[in-house]
Amino acid sequence: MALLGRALLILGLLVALYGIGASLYGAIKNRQDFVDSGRRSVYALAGLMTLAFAILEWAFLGDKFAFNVVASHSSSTTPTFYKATAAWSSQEGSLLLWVFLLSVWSSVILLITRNKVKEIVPYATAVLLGFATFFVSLTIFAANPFATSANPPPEGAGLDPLLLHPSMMFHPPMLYSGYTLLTIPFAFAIGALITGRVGTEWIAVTRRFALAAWLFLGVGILLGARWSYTELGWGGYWAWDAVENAALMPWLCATAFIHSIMIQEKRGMLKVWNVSLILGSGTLAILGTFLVRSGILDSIHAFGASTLGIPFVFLLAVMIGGSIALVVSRRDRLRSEAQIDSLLSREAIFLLQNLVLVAMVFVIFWVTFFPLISEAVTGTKVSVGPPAFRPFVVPLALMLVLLSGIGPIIAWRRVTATNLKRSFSFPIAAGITALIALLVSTNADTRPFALIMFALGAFVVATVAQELSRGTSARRAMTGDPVPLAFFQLIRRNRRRYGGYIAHAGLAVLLVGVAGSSSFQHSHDVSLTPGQTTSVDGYAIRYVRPTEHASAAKVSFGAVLDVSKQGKHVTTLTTTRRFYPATTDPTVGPISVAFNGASDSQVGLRAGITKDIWTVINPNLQPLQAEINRGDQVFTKLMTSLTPAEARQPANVQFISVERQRAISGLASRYVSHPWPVEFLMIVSPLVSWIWLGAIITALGGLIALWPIPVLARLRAGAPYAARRSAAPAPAKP
Amino acid sequence: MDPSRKRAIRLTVALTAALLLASALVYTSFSAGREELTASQLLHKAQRGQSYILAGTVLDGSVRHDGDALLFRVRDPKLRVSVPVRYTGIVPDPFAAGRGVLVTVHQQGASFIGEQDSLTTKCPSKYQAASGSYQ
Amino acid sequence: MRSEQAGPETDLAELEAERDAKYREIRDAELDHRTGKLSDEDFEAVDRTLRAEAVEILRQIDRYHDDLK
Repeated sequence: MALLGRALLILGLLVALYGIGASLYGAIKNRQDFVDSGRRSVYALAGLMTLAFAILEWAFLGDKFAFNVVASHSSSTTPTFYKATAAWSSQEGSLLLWVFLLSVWSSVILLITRNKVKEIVPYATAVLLGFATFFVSLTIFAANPFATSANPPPEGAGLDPLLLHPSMMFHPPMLYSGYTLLTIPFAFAIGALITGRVGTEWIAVTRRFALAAWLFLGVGILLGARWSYTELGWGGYWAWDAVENAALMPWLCATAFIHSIMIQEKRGMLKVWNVSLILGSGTLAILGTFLVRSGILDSIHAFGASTLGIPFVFLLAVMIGGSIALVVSRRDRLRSEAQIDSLLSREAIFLLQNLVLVAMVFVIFWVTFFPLISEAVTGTKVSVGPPAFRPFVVPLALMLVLLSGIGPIIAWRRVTATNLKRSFSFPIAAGITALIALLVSTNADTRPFALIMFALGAFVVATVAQELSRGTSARRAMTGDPVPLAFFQLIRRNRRRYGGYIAHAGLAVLLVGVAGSSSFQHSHDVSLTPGQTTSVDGYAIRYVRPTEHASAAKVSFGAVLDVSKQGKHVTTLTTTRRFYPATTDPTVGPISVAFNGASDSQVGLRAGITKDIWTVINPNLQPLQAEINRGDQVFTKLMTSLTPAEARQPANVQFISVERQRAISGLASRYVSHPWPVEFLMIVSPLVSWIWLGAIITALGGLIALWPIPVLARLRAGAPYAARRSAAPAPAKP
Repeated sequence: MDPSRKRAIRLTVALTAALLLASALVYTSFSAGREELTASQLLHKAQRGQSYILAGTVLDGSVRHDGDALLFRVRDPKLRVSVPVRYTGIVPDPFAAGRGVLVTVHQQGASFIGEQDSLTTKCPSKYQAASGSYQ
Repeated sequence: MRSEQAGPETDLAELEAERDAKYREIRDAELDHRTGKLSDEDFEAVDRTLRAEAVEILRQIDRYHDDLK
């Protein structure tokens, strides 16, 4: 099977290379049959990659430890769901997933465009197959998912316990879907530049893919943040870590792109800007894929440790160089057909928003890569931590939210004073009301930036509410429908517009959550013995009792905590810290091994609409140390007293294993019978749930804007279109 | 004002803003930046009484618990050198042999003492080659 | 909004894409008017411009078909 998998990859590489050749030949020699052949090779590639990925999944689900990736990332005791998802927790599997997704989306776009943009498609096909060639080559020559060993181990190493979390398992496919979907408009932009056909068509056919990319990438990023908050024991959801930034940058660029293409569609402006944005987004997507697997951000010297760094740098250089060369050579055709008439127009607001987003990308890029730059220049790595981001990102985020409120309520081309008054009165009033209410009833004035964000959030939500309400009224005036029907039809018939507005509202809610949770958090590090109480932000938290559990897989120590406010019970929290055996370290004693490996926290979390109460326990094992050492001595003496032959006898092995487990369990139970003071980190954070809620609303808005599936809509709309072709202009279906 | 002058003004404003942003960024990076030393650099430069930020990967097989302290060695990315660290405080979840870490240390005798709660682990980029051992 | 390459090779598909985009713009302007973002005079001015641009695109499409014959 492994051989079959590898054969599929090699065949895929050949098919991809053929496809590139056929597409380019067909384009240059104007041979449609070769172009079609090139397109069909994409379909073939998708089939091959699907089969290859299926084989990999089969290996994981079937515990085929002969496969190296299965042996190193899964085990027979791993739950089935995580066995399936462990496939992409490995370098090799994740690359295969990448190219699988790429081939599937490429097949979809080529199917949709088989009778359109005929000049661009062959070049786009070649670019997409170029990416496929790169990634498949990596899986063949550098990171083979189907590598096997002649002596398969009886058991696998298992999945890193930190990854045993649903969010962490959907996170990579979401991110990769986002990255691979971004390559579609990238490829079509390249094709448009090469052929000089830089009008609306390439945008019209790839718009939905860019939007889908934005959606998936955003969801992937949020899943990562949620994992960080609920699984990692530090209590935060965003650390401005390099791998986080690597995914955020293409998302910000994609956000800018999906807005600025509207300007090109309507006014024929910003053509250079649009191609540059999507070329930048695609490049950042590849950069993101590269950053998390090359070791380069640890240190420039660690770069060589991974074999993948150099090929990626090469690919990035080709992408950047090629993009710049193409844009420069086509700059005549990319001239604007119109100007921005007035700064008080939607075009101007969109452009400002774009500039803010690009500024954010620039800031994040600089701070992320600064250590590398400084190391290359001075020899020592100078890093700027999260505090460096805040002076830049916070004002930019505030501007972004403000613009997202203004954009929907002003018109294209120009706006007049009466419009301004009619449209802005309610939202501004809402913002000011929120501001005053917060100043009066909370201590929000101690954090001015957060306060401004709250007011702006109210402004944006009011904007969206006003738009939905006015649109519904307008529709009712036309059709006489009852309110719910009118509302539904309004959104249904104007999906791009209202999907976008809903996404803006979601973003506002999300950023209000970010502002609240980062500015008004109460954090408390305290040592407690059972029965003791501490207080955080008005909550009394009592350490009720210790808990413990010992098994061959792990030892966990935890606590049950009771949370109350002003005497009333609020919730009960449980938190544990799990210790995994240090199985790979032969120098550790037979009892110490249970306590000296990796450890992770089970967070005790009570999420609420207004506040989250979050805690982790950090038990130190010092009181057990003496006993652990004694246990080490006893068991080492026992095991060295056996001859090698005796040590191999199953009865002896069984005996030692059982006794060891008993000893460890006995030690662990002392944690409950003779509890000692342990450390807790307790955090009370307001509005964290608004982040997840806002993300859901934003995703919903994105989905609405994305609907319907183009193929179906096209079939449905086909007949009426033909009838209307030569009639006077009439509103067309969405 | 004719359109081309308007455009020129807007362009100038935009470029000036960009320049200001860039300058602010560069200034912040260099002034707020903290030097991270590798194991070899630390051994070379360390002076008694001074704090340094040590960056590197945790050496495989070097992790021990000693009472409430965590003992581990941080290895240099290039040279076959590692530095022993004795750390007390919160240990981040992703901490493990082979992971990238940052810890503020000062020298004490032959060892380095990690300051309380100063240990951070880089987001585990899962796809790195196992870099915690000497290859 | 005129298409990029004037002349007999003007691409039909490109024109049709522009036409569809123009129809969407007309609808959007109507909705803007109905939800109060455009005053009556502003709307009439914008609507007139957009419809004129749409007619121009339709003329170009017809010209393309005529050139084919």
